Amino acid sequence: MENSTIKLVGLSKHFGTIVAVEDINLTVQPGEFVTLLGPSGCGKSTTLRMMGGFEIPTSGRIYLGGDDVTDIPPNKRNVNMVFQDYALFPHMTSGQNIAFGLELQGKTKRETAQRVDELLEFMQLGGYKDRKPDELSGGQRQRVALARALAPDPRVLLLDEPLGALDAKLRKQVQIELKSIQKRTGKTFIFVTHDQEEALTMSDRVLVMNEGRIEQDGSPKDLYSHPETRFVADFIGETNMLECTVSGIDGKHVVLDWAGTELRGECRSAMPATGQSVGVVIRPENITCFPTKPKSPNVIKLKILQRVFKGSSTTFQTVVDESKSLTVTLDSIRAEKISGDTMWVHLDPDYLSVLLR
Amino acid sequence: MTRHTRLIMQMIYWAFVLYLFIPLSLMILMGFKDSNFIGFPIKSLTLDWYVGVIQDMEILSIFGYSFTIAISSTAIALVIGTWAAMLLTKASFKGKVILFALITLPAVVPGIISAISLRIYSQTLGIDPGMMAVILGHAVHSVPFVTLVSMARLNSQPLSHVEAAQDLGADKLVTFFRITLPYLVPALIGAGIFCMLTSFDDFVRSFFLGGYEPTLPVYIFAQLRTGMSPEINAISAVVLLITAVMGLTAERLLRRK
Ligand SMILES: Nc1ncnc2c1ncn2[C@@H]1O[C@H](COP(=O)(O)OP(=O)(O)OP(=O)(O)O)[C@@H](O)[C@H]1O
Ligand SMILES: [Mg+2]
Repeated sequence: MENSTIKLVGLSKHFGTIVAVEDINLTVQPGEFVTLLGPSGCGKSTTLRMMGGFEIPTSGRIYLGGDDVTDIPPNKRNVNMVFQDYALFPHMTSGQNIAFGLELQGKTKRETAQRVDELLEFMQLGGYKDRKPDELSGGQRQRVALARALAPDPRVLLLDEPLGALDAKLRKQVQIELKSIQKRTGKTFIFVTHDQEEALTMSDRVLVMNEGRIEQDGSPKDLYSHPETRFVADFIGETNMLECTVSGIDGKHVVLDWAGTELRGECRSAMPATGQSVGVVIRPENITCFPTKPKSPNVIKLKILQRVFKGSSTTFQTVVDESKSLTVTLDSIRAEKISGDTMWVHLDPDYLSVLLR
Repeated sequence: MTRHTRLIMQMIYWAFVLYLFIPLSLMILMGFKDSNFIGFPIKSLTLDWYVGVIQDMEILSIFGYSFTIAISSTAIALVIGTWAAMLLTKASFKGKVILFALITLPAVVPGIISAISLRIYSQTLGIDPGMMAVILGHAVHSVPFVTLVSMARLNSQPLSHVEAAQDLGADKLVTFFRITLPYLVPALIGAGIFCMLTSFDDFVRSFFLGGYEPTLPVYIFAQLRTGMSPEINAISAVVLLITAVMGLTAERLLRRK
């Protein structure tokens, strides 16, 4: 724990009767890129702002490198923030913006100037030192904001939807840049976004939030392939949600009844009870397909209603019978081999996650 | 818009411009008249009146006096007005509405009422009629404008600018002087010029609060009572020139941000 950069213990924030954040526990390791992901209003910004010192928690504690900083104001916290609108000071040049935090740390003129030049170089802003923010492009402004926040060498960098103001193309490019900057500096980043793709591309670890609570905490791969709750399964990517009844347990697998079709799935949390109704999810691209019936369990015959070509992949809208439908995504090369209007698919039990919530 | 309505609109516009500028042009023109009386016909022109104004030490010193009052009262109003605006937008306390009402009241009180009450008040305070009393009187009148303009500007300042400054280690005072005040500058320049012009132009307060030394409007008024001469036109034209230059400079400064 002493080694952790930031640690939240039972953190809650209420605005009157509105519960913005409820009982968040989180320990971030040095150098981690952690993302808070969730829909609008789920409490991401509030959580981040509490870490920065801009909101006082209703209850719970915040530790920074082992010290309790819950009651320390933002100007005395060794944490810096990149704001959604960048909040660059309009009357100062890029160089002056970046120097601001260094001057307040009491650095000498020479040290400050040296560090500013270093950061401008690092951010590829070499020729832009004397430009005011309104003379910079969106991407350049974003980099100045990042440089300014990195300048005082904070323990943790907080970023509240810093890519929100960029257009889609630039956004993709900046995502990669930001990730590489984080790697090169070895800084701990806590990043907020409501864009699941962004979260999955950039993070080492993603916390999915919903209504002020953490729904799931895991690696992007984990969240994607093994969602633990219906909310997470729904929020991240496209998915098939099968409403099933538990008919028994078979070793490490759960035996399920999907309206008459028997399936086996895996359950990462406590095993469900027989007779319980559960949601079962599988990603369209985790379904494997065969032109003829293969010999393994969890095989279903599907009737193809529609196929949609999407370049490298092709998506099939299919039904098992009137009450059950499935979306299947295949490599386009593989999809070409499927002719006719039926196909056999295998639902790998390891990718068929049983959700209790 | 049809050509017809556009033509009518343009005519109305030009009629208005003429209405505004004919009196001013007449005033300037009369200053060139080679005669002791104002009015047509103008038989010959002269520069004597203007030269006289520029060379008249008394008039120049009155100009200086009015200017000193305008600058001092504006400086006081800027400090108090900014302070009040910060208090009213950033702080939360009981009686905020009352403070706001009190600070903005002088803007709506009729000039004569405020002049008389200020006269009585300054005398109770032991400030004799004279420069100090006029400066304070003008400052009271200017504070509401500075406050209102600054408040509008402060309300448009993104909260994130202040938070970013704090985040980077600035306390309240540093944040004010290095972030908020520079943000306010355009508004303060605008308000400041406005206040200076108001002070320069004020008659009622200057008349009631002033001592033996008159401000420019008071002097012109005194001259008028002894009869209109083109000298007054020349003085007025010079005043017009100065205020126009000030106004245009302010406008340019504001546009450059
Ligand atoms: N100062 C405040 N006063 C009252 N309610 C607030 C305040 N700040 C946030 N809230 C409420 O707290 C909840 C969480 O807000 P928060 O800004 O943390 O959401 P978010 O996840 O960042 O959403 P978004 O993606 O839209 O930025 C919302 O319901 C919001 O209305
Ligand atoms: Mg937010």
